[in-house]
Amino acid sequence: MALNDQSAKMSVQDMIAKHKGRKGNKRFEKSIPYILFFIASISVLTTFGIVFTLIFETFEFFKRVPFSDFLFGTEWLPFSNNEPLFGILPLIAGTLKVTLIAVVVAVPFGLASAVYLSEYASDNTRRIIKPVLEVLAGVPTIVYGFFALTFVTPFLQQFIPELKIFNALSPGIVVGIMILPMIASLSEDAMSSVPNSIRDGALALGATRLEVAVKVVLPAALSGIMASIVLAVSRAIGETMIVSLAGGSTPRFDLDMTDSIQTMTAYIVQVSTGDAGYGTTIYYSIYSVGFTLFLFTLLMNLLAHVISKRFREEY
Amino acid sequence: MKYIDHGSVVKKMGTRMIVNKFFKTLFFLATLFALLALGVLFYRIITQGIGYLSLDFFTNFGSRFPEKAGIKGRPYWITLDDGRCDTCVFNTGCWICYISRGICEEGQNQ
Repeated sequence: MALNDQSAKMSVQDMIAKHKGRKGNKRFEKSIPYILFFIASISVLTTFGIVFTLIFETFEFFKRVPFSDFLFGTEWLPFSNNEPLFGILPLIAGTLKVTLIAVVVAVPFGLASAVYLSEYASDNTRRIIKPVLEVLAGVPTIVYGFFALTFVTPFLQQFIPELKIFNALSPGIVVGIMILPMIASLSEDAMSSVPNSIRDGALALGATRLEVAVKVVLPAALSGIMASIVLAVSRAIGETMIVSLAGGSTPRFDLDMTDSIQTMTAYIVQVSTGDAGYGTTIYYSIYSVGFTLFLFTLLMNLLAHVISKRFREEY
Repeated sequence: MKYIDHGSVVKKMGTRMIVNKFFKTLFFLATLFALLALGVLFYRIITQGIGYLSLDFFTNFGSRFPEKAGIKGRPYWITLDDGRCDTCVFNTGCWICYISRGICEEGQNQ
């Protein structure tokens, strides 16, 4: 007790002075930044490792397959016994079809939800609806995949009889539902961060809530909204489970949404879970497809960065 | 200088209010669409999955025979994997934050 009283009376400066002379402590203190730097560099090195692996294995692929055949070829038949074809365009077409449908579903509904939550809903309604919406983003994608295959496709077949069991429409809609809360939530955050004084000014001039939302709040929050859309699109491009389960595995270079497709991610899954031997051209092809996918998502992330910088408004 | 014509503002007020109400309903319905999708998803999972939940399902290991299949062992692996992953990510993330802050402060001081 007496010791406690004594230490309580010691000032912080006294304690520092008391421990300053210890050699071990000093050495330990000096080593801490190096230890922390080493730990921090692990994630950076991991990223570099992933990118370098992708690049090296992709080079190996291009030693076997001409770059022009890969880039401009319209047929992707890697398992063909006669003459395997590695034209990436069908896989890109499949990915873009699903992404396009997802954007058509998610952007209008997501933005409308964001405007409702930010401009019209009461605090209580917002407090309930927003977390419930965010639950959608937390549903595992495998569940969404089965939902697309066992519910959405049969439901759509009632209206579109020619729709095949594996198609682009159903996974596209479900990917759209999956990214919808991302757009709604991030856009709502961006709109809510617009100062109320601007809103009140417009309302005081006689604008309706819709006019305030469309002509004042949306332009002011444009950078955040665009960034949310671009991030959601890059998630749609990289989506794997839904398209693997409900999209099928037929690479096609056309605009048909009712037939089976194959996306870049679905191809990687197909080869990774199959019997492709190490060192074969098919094995290296997954790296080339992965690298193409990486370029797509990198481009989208850079775009999000540029947009958010270009349209940023600070109040 | 063009002044606001009070008469025309009053005349258009009704239409503007109707448009505002229409869009409010539209935006609300869009929000409901997302909630409906979630509701349908949960309804499907619960109605189709609840019949298969039994004590055997939780106490059996994985099997290729559906009647003998269970998830015993899975939660352990999921927890273990997630635990290891979370610990690794959390530690690395914390240290990155710490160092970034240090670098920023150092930069500010200079």
